[in-house]
Amino acid sequence: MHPNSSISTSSVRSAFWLLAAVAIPLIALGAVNYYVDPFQQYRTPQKPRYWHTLQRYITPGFAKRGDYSNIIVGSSMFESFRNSEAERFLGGKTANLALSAISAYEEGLMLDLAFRQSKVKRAIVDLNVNTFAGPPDKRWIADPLPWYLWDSNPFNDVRYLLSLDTLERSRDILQNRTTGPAFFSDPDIPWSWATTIEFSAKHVVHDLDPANLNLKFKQQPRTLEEMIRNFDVNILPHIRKHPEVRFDLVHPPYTVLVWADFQQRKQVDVTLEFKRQLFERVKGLPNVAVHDFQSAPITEDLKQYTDLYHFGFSVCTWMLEQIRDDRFRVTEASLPGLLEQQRVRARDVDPRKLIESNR
Amino acid sequence: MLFNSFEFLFAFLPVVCVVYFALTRFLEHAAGRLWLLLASFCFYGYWEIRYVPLLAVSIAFNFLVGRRVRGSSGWLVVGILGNVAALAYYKYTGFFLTSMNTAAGWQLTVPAILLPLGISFFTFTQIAYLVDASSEKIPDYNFVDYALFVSYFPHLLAGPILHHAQMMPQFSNVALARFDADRFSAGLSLLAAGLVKKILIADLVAPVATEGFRNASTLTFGPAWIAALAYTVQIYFDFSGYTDMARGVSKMLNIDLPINFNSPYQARNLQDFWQRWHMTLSRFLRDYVFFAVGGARRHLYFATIATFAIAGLWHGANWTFVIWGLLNGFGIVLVRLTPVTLPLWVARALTFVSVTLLWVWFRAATVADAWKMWRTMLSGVPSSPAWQPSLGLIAAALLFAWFAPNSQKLFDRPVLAPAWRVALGLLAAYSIASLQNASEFLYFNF
Repeated sequence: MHPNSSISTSSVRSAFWLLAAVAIPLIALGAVNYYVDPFQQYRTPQKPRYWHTLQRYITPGFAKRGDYSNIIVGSSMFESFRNSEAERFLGGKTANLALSAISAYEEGLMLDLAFRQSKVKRAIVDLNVNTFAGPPDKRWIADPLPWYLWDSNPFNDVRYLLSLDTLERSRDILQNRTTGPAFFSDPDIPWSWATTIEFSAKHVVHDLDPANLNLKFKQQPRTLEEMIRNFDVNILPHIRKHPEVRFDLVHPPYTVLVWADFQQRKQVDVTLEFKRQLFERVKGLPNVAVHDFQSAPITEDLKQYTDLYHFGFSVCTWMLEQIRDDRFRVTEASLPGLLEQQRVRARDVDPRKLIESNR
Repeated sequence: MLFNSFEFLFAFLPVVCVVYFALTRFLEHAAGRLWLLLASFCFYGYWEIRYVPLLAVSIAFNFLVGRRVRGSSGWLVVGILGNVAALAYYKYTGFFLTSMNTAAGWQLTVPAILLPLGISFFTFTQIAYLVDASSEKIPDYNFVDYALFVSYFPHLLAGPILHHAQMMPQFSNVALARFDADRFSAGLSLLAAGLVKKILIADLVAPVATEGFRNASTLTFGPAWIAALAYTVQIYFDFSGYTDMARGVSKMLNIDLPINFNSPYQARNLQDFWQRWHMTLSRFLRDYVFFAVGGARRHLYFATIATFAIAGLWHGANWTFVIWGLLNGFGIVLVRLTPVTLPLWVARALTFVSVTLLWVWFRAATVADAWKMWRTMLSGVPSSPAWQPSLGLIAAALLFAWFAPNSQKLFDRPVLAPAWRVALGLLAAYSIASLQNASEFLYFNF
């Protein structure tokens, strides 16, 4: 017998029990988190539960489940599109995958995730100009993106399953502690803030400085080069790669005051040229329709809004109807007039007068 | 890739171990070394693939110079200049240009150069190799062994700084390429202990230090001391924890890395502290800097201060690091000039307070912040800070650092007592489960 054999046996036993003490609690942790699945990566829960503060953890789960044929990808303005309304107007099950403060980079990631999981037939994509500011990998949220939930690799789900943070959410769910201002429970509008907020012209104009409309929102300045690059890198490849999908690219209906803001910040030319160049890029693609709501009369009806940018359910429903009927669809013939109309609008709108009359 | 990551713990390390021991058992010993070399480059490239060629070129350059350097001071100068130039470019360009702009009022453009991880470590390692090769102290190594010595993944990112004389014999020893249950078990324990130190102590007190130093210029007496103590705990448990992991991982592969920490907060004076803290750096500085600037001959005090100034600059490209290095140098000179024998507990307490004060310069973002914090800590009105749970953790960690045996005494052994095994395993599991947090996004009204 080797003189050290007993030591070796003891050391094997020691290593085994050490590994077991590590592995057993981790396996139990993973099992609980998988069973409860608080971020809804594997299944739709019987009792809907959405924490807005964890939106970037939960929404990829919607995309991954893949039981839809339409998707809505966009910023907070698009969070109030009801899935049921989209189904009514566009046909087919819809997943609203909008995210607050989304960037073009995140829009691209979300499209990629949805196209990998499901047979998408139609994608409504928000062309909010602020989404397209900055470099093509820009994110507006400082917190790191939970990228391990934004891909299709099941192995890196260990980050989700073997996490005490996930366990805390699992515990809250098991103990039925699902409340708070950031908690939502309507699967038709998982992330809509529109149920709890005031829509009125008065609300839109309060706190606004007529000489500096951007003071409240602090939107970043944009350059044409960055905006176009964002589109080319994050959106256009998906359009080209999926000719079977109908893309509805939507310039959302900001209030008319936004054009006054663009005028104040010298962003009118950039915005209009972005629209022109974007249209040039997609006009020959049969699977794309560009819809521009930014000259629509509704943009002057401030009672439909809660601030400069955000509109309510009725506008969302109205937009879906218009998209279905292609009433605001941009064509090569309509584009120059549309852009000129918006240029004039930006020049002529008097923010002081509009604000005073609605206060 | 970091040791405290899912990728490393659940994929990289198990695959490297299994394939390495399979290769050395069923194929040649050389195949195992090649595998470790490949794994080391993958480990490095996982962080930033762009810098893999830099590491490869650095290794090839030093290996070739090392072949010609014997008895040739010209080649030695070429070699050292090449290494220093690479380090200077990647680490100090921004610092140099910013300092010039500040001093001379220039408007030089400061390029954004991404610092290659571990460049300070692999540069120092190779300078030592060239210096020794020039004085004919070493045999001719083959390229694979040399490349593995420099890039060996357990030490590559944060040390310990390896010496060829310690490592090369192990790489070429066929007997050490076989699986050894005793050493594997000891390595596993060290790895687990390092994880616990890093994640459950260093990472938990880090926010206290970060918050404190962020507000360095406005802190009052109590919060300033808490921030400094929190950082004192953080840096020790972070760095020594990472070293424990490095030593543990290497030991699992049956290769010993040198000890880098020996209960430094139990030191009796600053000189003793530097013989216990980042010991492989101290050894390098003594052998290749201190002696080179005349430390062994006449200029003992000058050489001490100069060596520590270089050590400061090596740690980071900022004047705060240079001042930290100089203060350490002056401190050691002071110890040498005043050989007073104090009761052990008084000496330890004084040393600990000195080290804590010196860390302020290491951690502060600017010289002004460090100076303000020092003034507050040394002349502020004493006040008792509000209780917070992290204070308990800081106190417990300090008690551990002052009075408990260190990791190598506790865990560098093949067999742990059953209670220790279970406790260490559970704490390691807790650490792993704490690796990934969900950060809540507070922008939920748009």
